Amino acid sequence: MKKTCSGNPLASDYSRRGFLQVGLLGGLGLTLPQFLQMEAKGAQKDYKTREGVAKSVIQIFLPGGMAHQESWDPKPFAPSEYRGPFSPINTTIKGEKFSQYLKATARVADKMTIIRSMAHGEAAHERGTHNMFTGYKPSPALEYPSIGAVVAHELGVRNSLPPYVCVPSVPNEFANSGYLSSAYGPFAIGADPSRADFKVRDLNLPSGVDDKRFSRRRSLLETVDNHFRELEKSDALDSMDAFYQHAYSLISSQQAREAFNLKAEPEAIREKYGMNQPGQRMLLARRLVEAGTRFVSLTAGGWDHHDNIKSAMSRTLPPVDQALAALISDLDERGLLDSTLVMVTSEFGRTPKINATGGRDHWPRVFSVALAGGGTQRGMIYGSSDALGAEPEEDRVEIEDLATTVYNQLGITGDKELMSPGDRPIEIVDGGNVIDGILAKKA
Amino acid sequence: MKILLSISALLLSIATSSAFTPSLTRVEPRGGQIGTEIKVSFYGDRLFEPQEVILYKPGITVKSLEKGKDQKSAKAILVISKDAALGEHPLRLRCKAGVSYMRSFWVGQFPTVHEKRTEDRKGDLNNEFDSPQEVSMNVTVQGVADREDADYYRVKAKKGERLSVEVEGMRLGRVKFDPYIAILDSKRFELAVNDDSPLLKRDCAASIIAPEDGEYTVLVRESSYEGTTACQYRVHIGNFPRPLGVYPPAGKPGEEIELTFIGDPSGDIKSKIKLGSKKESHHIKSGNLLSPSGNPVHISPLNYLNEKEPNDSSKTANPVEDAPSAPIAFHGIISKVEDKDWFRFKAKKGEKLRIQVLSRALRSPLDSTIIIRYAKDGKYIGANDDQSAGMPDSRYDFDVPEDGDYTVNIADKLDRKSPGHIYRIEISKKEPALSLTLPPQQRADTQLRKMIQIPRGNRIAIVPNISRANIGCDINFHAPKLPQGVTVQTPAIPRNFSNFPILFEAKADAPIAGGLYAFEIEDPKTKLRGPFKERISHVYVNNQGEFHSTDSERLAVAVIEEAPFHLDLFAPPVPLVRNGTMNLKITARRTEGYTRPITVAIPWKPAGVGAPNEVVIPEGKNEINLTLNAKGDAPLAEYKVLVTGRTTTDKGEVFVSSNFAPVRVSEPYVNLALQMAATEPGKNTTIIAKVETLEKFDGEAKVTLHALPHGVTATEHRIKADTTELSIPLTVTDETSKGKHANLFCQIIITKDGHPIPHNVGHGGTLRVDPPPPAPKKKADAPAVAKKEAPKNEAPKKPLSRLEQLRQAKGQ
Repeated sequence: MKKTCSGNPLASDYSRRGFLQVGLLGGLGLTLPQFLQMEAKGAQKDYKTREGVAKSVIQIFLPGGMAHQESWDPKPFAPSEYRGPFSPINTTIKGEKFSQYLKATARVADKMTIIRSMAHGEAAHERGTHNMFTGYKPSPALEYPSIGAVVAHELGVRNSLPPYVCVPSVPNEFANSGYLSSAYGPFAIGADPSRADFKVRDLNLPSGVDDKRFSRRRSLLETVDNHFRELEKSDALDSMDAFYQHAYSLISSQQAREAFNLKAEPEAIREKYGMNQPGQRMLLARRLVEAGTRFVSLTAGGWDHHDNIKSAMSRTLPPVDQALAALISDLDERGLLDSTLVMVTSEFGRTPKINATGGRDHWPRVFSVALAGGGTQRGMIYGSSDALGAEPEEDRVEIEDLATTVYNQLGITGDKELMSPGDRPIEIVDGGNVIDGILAKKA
Repeated sequence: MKILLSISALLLSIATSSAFTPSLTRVEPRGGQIGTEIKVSFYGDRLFEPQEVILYKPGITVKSLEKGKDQKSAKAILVISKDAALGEHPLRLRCKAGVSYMRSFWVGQFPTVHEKRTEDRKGDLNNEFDSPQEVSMNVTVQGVADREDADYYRVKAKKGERLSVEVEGMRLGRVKFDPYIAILDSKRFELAVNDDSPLLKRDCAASIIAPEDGEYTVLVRESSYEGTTACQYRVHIGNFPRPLGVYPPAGKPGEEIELTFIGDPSGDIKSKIKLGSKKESHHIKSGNLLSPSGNPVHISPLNYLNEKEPNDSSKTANPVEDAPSAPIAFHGIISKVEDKDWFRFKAKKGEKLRIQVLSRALRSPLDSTIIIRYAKDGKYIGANDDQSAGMPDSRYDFDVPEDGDYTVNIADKLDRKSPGHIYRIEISKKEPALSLTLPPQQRADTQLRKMIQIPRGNRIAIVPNISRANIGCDINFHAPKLPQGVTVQTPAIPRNFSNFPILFEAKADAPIAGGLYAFEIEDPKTKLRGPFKERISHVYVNNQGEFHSTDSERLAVAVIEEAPFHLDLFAPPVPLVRNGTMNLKITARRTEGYTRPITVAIPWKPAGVGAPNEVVIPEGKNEINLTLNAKGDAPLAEYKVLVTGRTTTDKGEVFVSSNFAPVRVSEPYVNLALQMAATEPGKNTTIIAKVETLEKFDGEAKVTLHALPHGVTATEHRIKADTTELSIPLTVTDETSKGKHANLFCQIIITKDGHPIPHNVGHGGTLRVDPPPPAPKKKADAPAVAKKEAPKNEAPKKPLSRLEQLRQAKGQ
């Protein structure tokens, strides 16, 4: 073997000196895994959290995959079976149009940035949802934390409020804390704010479950719990427990509790948002970010319109339109829009061509994302899709870019590495770029 | 006054009797006993003036049918004959203005009792093992498996007596309901349990021989305690036989055959049976009692061989001598762990054979895999595990390479075995086959618009899909029988059509009547015929598929009450050109006083032709245009199209179709290509179009440039047949958005005999709006401005191409 080549490390015989070096670890009282962990930590990319332009994020997720053609990216010149059933309307961005059911939002378009060239290529709901919630493509080897959980991890509690709140409930498994401790998971309020009797989940029995059924369930649960308690002790259960204890203690503070109190909001404001699910959810989100929550995630409507997209959109979009326009103008009037990033996303777009049952199917090759505030441009259309809304034509945006930009505006560097199980450092986002073009003020 | 009153009464009766789309949601009770008469209630909505219970199987007659106290119910007395087939009897309720979805009534051999409920009917009285509902042997209980509900039934049995239980749950077809049963002894030990079974799919059956005299308890519940009040079941508890398989699994039409029913706790039961002509389900009899559901027996004219063990190696492949020639079928059972059964057959070079396993198709637990080899040297040829996703039976299409003997061996994928692991392997030539089906109109509702309902004096179209297996052919449609006063029209159906419209028309005086009708399609050359098939999935869940379905080869057709409008379709007598559009004019003739909106769609479009999903004739209006567009590669041919309109009346939705109208797709008259143009905000420019006339036209054609960016406008221009180039000046304002705008195109409208022929051409035209160049140095100010102004003032005498412009710019 030539001296210049170290050769196959498995074939090379250890020198006495090398052996001593390895043996030295033992002398320091380190086990090999501990040594590797130290080594990994040494190599971990770390960045200090900066002062963000955005102090909080309201993530409005439209589950099912909203058609970009019937919302942010109408195609008025496409043939009718591509164009779809609706007419476009003018927005306050000169020369740019939204679809007809975004009437109210079109009037605040000059406060928004619309990305029309988002793409990720994952046509299954769960994979698309994973992408949009975590900024990563799904991996069979690792559960990634949601953007909200990373924000909670990086920025922590502000004003005694849970840093990451889901309204009304955790919308899907990818909104959780992934490989991070479940202490960074979302606090779900557990009840819909549009209900007249809305209050944050407490220990009342769920409706329809009487004492007898509850005691039967509890005895079953105890049997199962005891069985596992005898077998093993679970850290995950303990941290979940601690998380909820912490969360309940947080909302026991008067200020925090008040943030959840929708009734404190004047009736006129409630009406302006709309007395329906999207309206009251978005209003609660505004109250929460106003009080100090870092990341509020809410869902609105169902958008998997495989059949009759005309009637589905005409029912589902108007309340979201009203609420979104109200949210953006309300935040702006309160001077909160520049420090609050509102993002309206969906897992993917829908097929360029209307299908046989009058709907559109899944289409992840191009779709739109709407942003407002948090340092983004006011009144901008970024990127474009082609004439049929089938492929990105200009300035394609990847999920990593979007996630990196959101983190950046909050003062978090996407390239920072967090420690995953097995002591593997994992970047918050793997390789995204900040989309400078959409930012008026970059953090 | 009297006359006035009677007229208004007549008008009122017309208004209230239009109960289109009657909805039948439930039949109560869910079943009855053979040889009895039973009162049945139908529940739903819009069940005005019920006319007939349409039954799919013989054995039940309707003694009386009358309306209920309101439109939400109807009542009937059904007479179930002694020889009615046990099991599902599909039915529909036909009312004066429509036919309901398919529902079912279940026939059993035992008297029916109901599960005992509390007085307020909110709970059961049989939820505890210690306080069950006592029932006698040989009874059917109709009950409900509600949420977290376990129903206990106690029955007495003597030692050695057979105690069998079978549930009809999912098969009742109301909701997705997966039942679970257990037979418990007096100490609550399980003697038999069953959740799902290959024979009954999600439904279940269990059977034991009572080990001692005493009481036995039958438990019925939803398998994960997630039932609802809609989770109804019929559980048969009795001494009936409950075999799980039958061997041989198939025979020839009309053959007298001895079948062995396998899997009953009392042992195998043999029975000699004369087979019919189509796939059958045999209910084996033991004593006086039948199995509640039958075991399927396949019927086919193929010769077959039953396996003779040992045949678990290539050397012992059945038959060891004189292999039979394909087509042939083999029957066997995988009865030993890791058993493989080998068969030998002869085939000729060039034959196209299909080797098809029937095991799960015949409700056997076997999950087959097959391997095909040369018999002479055992050399591998091919293999298959599953024929398709969700169907574990194997299928291998075999192009025979040479004359000779071949072997096929079969095994269970998971190396499981049982006396019930029965299979049939069919080796047959690929035969051509034709069939028609109506595609689902909506996901998760396979019944929507599967009924052909023709309003009197009006028309309705359906658009079935054609399935052509191993044949490509034109199609003729045959409707041998139709309700009185009904006629049918179809366009010519060439071999490249995968679906086509069929238009049914009822005369104004056609009697209100209906029933089940069989239709066929035929290849005019070979005279091969195929049926119009219908598959109704009673329980269907998105992305999970169907859980219970009923197949039929007859469709429900009915003449119903008059609809409040007619539709007329007019297609202009000019061609629809490739990359062009055409307006179809739709006119509604409304009955007086009917003003509601009518939604119109084109149910069938020629290949390469697009249209909006629907257009709406607004309230009070009578006309609307529907714009067709043709792709650049749309096949050139003449077609017949029609439209279907729907409106929602007070009493439901009604559908009506128009006449057929001819549409011809042809080559465009002109083509046009736009050259790239570039400018800056605030600087006007010109875009040049090269025009090519492909077919001469008279007069002038209008040209409009579309999809210009904000702040850019162009005026309309005209061309003639001899125009070769066109310059379109663009007015560009300061507000114009910068960037590349690459989706410009032109619409050219040629007029022929007063009818427009719109062409959309020049797609991909590009206008680049560049940022203004940096402000020049002060010294250069004056000449620069002068230069800028110059082109503005000059009329574009000879338009310059982009290349020429660049050359000139470089020269400057």
